[in-house]
Amino acid sequence: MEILLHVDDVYLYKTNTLILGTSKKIKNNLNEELKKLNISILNDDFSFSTDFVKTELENYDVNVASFSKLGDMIDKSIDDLSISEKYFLKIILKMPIKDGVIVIDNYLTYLNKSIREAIFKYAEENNIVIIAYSQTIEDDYFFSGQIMVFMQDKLAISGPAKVVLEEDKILKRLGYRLPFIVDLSNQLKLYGMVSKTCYSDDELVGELWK
Amino acid sequence: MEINYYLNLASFGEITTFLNANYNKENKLPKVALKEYLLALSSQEKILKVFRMLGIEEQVLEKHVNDLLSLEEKLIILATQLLKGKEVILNYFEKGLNEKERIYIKRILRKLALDYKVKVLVFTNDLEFLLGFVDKIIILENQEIAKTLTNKEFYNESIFKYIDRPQIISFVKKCHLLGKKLDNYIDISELLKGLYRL
Repeated sequence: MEILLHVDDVYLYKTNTLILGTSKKIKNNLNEELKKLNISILNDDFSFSTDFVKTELENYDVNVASFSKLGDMIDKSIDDLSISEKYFLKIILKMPIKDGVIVIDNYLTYLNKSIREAIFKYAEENNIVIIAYSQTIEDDYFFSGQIMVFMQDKLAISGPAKVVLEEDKILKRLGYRLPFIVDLSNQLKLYGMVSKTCYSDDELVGELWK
Repeated sequence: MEINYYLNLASFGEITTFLNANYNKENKLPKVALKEYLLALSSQEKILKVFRMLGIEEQVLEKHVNDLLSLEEKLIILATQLLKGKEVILNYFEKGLNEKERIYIKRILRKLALDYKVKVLVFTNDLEFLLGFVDKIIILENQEIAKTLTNKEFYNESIFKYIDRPQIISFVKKCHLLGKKLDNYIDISELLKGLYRL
């Protein structure tokens, strides 16, 4: 796997990565290094330059057809957007067109599942890597990538997502809730009711009643 | 939609959540020294009383907003609202907090509603956050009330037209389709016991 960044003991790879537990200091340090690589970083520093969704999309030359959800928003003014619509629009405006990396600071969690799915689908189709700062492990889109967890400015645990998610005791001690199916299957494993960690409803149901 | 519309739908002593609402005022603090900011709202005595109510350590008052930890920032936002009155309005408030912090916030909000009879309004898109926590759920469609539900109705399929189905509910419903007799669990520990008993 291609290494994007290596700072101290932190290795960031060019794959979908979820970064948890960063303080402002760690985030700033990582972002400084990522900016040197000309990587797009989306956080509260980014603001709209016009009052209307349509003009923002035109200014950034966004292909509206790529995101059907934009249809509901296109005639609105920025002030009339809901919070999740605003964050969705910001992600679309900052998203590289192809073959790039975008760093998203906590915005994904404001979006409902179908919008997140649309973003990840677009990213996958266009070979775009998403690195997300978050405080929750919500999305299975990161299951094929990496998870990094910081605690008090030190890297506590890091690695392929499916390996990190098996460390449920550590993750819970650090304050995180595992994705529901992963959590449930890990606990069912302790009872001997399933033999492995599962990542979807169907997989878990299959394991329970095979 | 103006906030008074939502305030009139909520009651003191209750946590009311609004789903699919188009309320877009974010809970943010100005980037200032906290002490100066809060003293402009109220007396030090009242500030410290509210701090104690929310479990905020006194020394946080000496911080600048930029130096607050995520949970501290949320609690200070709550404090500023309580210094102004008995209504708190929280918009996607749980975002940016890990699970431990969310549990703490939920406990604080329940205490505010039950013990201090505060009117608590929660705007969110996250039904997982709300499970077992809120008193009333009001779902809006095109700024009109589409449905009003209690906290016993999380398995009401009609609400998932407006909001994502929590994963625990998806899983239990899948089990029901397979003929497995499980209750409508909203807590993973109870679900585990239910599965073990099957």
